[in-house]
Amino acid sequence: MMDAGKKVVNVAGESKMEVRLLDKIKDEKMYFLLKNSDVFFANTLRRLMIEEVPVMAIETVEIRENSSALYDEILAHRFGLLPLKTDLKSYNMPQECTCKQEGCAKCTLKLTLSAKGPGMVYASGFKSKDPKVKPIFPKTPIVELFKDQEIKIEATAVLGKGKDHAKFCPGLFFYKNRPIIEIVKKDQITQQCIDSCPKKVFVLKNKKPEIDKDKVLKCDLCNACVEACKGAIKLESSNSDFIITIESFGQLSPKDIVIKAAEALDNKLKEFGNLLK
Amino acid sequence: MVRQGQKFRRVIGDYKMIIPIRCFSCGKPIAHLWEDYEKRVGKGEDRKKVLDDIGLERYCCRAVFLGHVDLLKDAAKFKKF
Repeated sequence: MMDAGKKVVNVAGESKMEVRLLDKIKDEKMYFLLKNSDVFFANTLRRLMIEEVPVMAIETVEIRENSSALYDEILAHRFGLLPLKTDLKSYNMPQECTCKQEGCAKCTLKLTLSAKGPGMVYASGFKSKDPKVKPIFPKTPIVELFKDQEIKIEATAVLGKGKDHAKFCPGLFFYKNRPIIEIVKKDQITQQCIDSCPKKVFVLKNKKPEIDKDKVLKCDLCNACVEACKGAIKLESSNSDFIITIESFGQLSPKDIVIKAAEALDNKLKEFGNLLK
Repeated sequence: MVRQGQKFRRVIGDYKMIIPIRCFSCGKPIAHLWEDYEKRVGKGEDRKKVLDDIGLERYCCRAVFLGHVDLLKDAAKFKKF
């Protein structure tokens, strides 16, 4: 609709897929527009990001001493959920490592934590053998120790995939269809119509109602404008364009997550192709 | 009897020892925001404003904070089994 004039068309006459970055908030969130694609592809991407992108997390915990008020299992669970900064270049998945799952420096990382009460134990107390891989949020409280309480822990972190455990998920990924809003009858638009939109998509320019181009993509397809204006506004959702949101938990940047997911899809298709031969 | 049952359930439902590392529903790490939140709410700031400031936008994460009561100090008085 917006730039129909410069559509890229390939030999078969189909429109080519396009990706446009919409917004980026630090290294946490990324919004992009996927054009000329379909739900199947967007959903494949979503599933790959959730379950195929490897991320580091604590997998085994050796508890030497725990006289805190929390049980060993609760402590171990809390350690596992701590997001660790992941360095994908220097670590291998344990299953694919050359050490044949014996646990070498290339696939496992030892972290130690020892503390005595009284006082709160934070994630920053973890001493990592690799300075690059450490808890992302050092202020995370792990357990509060009181008088004469002590913990001594040795933990092993490995790379893992989201399909094995949710702690290996790199972030959240969701998409919505791109809204297509059209003002059919300009003279019938009242102030009430304009105010009905919770995202303020409509603006008055020279006393004429117009669609704010910057805010169109924020539309939630809630239909409030259609109900308020009775036929003056047409609202549809595109079946080929998607607004994709990626929210990273911090282990990897959103960009890395997308790239790794695309690589995972590539590898899967290659494997499938080889099996067909 | 019904009333008693409700009372009992409520105690169990509110029973969290320490703030969960991640949100129960979406999995976003939230524990590192807790102390800041607690301090600011303790000073009398509006809960909504604090939650917005620290960046919890979904209602799942917000619910974890709103419903949480730190009980570790009380639990620590008793012997662990």
